[in-house]
Amino acid sequence: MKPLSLLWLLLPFAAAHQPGEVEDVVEIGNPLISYAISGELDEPGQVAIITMDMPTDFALPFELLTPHRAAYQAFRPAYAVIAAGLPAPTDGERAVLPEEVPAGMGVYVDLNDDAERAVIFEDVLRRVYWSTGVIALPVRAGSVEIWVWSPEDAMGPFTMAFGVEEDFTGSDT
Amino acid sequence: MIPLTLIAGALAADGSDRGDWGFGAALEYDLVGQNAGVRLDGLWHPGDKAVHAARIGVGVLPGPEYFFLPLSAGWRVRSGGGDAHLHGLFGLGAEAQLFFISDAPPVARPMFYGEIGAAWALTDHFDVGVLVVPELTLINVPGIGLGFRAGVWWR
Repeated sequence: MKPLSLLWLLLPFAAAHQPGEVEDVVEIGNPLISYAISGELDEPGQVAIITMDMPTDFALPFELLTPHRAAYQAFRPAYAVIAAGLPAPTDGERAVLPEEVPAGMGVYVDLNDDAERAVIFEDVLRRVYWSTGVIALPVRAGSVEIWVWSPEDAMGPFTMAFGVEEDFTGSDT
Repeated sequence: MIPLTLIAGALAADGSDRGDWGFGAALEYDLVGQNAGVRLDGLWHPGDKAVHAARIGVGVLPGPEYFFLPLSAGWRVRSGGGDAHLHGLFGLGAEAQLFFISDAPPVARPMFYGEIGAAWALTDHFDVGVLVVPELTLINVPGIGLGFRAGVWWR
């Protein structure tokens, strides 16, 4: 069975799903709308940051994708979701996180280090990705950040997918 | 890709010994999936052999993310006639597309294609030409494709 994926968010012609690009820090207007944000880690130590303000408590799905190509086989970017409502970071998580978690915030960390990764075939544009899998995280209303970084300093492109609601107006509010 | 003997035989033949079947081969680059390879065509001419052909085809197109194997069936029209050397090519058809991924089960899906292009008749039997092939499916999840082919066809 094909694993569930948020990859359908990459439909570029559907205004409901907002594609975008990360340039170090990108701010999201309405995080309830589904997003597929592409970026590239091309420098050691680089951290891509996506910020948003949740208008309400919500179980928000997240998924990190990388191109299924031999050149990127060793590229396993990690991501962390920083938000109120998530557990406080453990000592182990603090050791791998690229930044300090702000006081009062919790974190979910996915190091993308499973031996076997899910493989997603994206039907619209005939592309194949490795996926961390989709996880829904219960975040509270307020500030939410997503950090994407490469623990091994491997370089490559990624797509961070999150959100749920379909909005065909094309607005980001 | 095409044996030299077949090319020599095709160039030497005249219009009186045309059969119902023809064949072709083209190099193709698929812009959407970023695959490149070869397409082989079998062309059956039911009537005027210079105009209409039922087409079956198979492609072998490796790429950076998967190995692409399309199986096609359709119809192609070759415009113009008489002593004209330049002809338009127009076609429609359907494909069964197979995607072989290194660490996942293969994926299969249906697709519809169109062909638009031009061919230059080197002899009564032998064309060389180019085709642009847009693809679209609305079955299950929508999908698109866009191929560019340069090939030779014998009829």
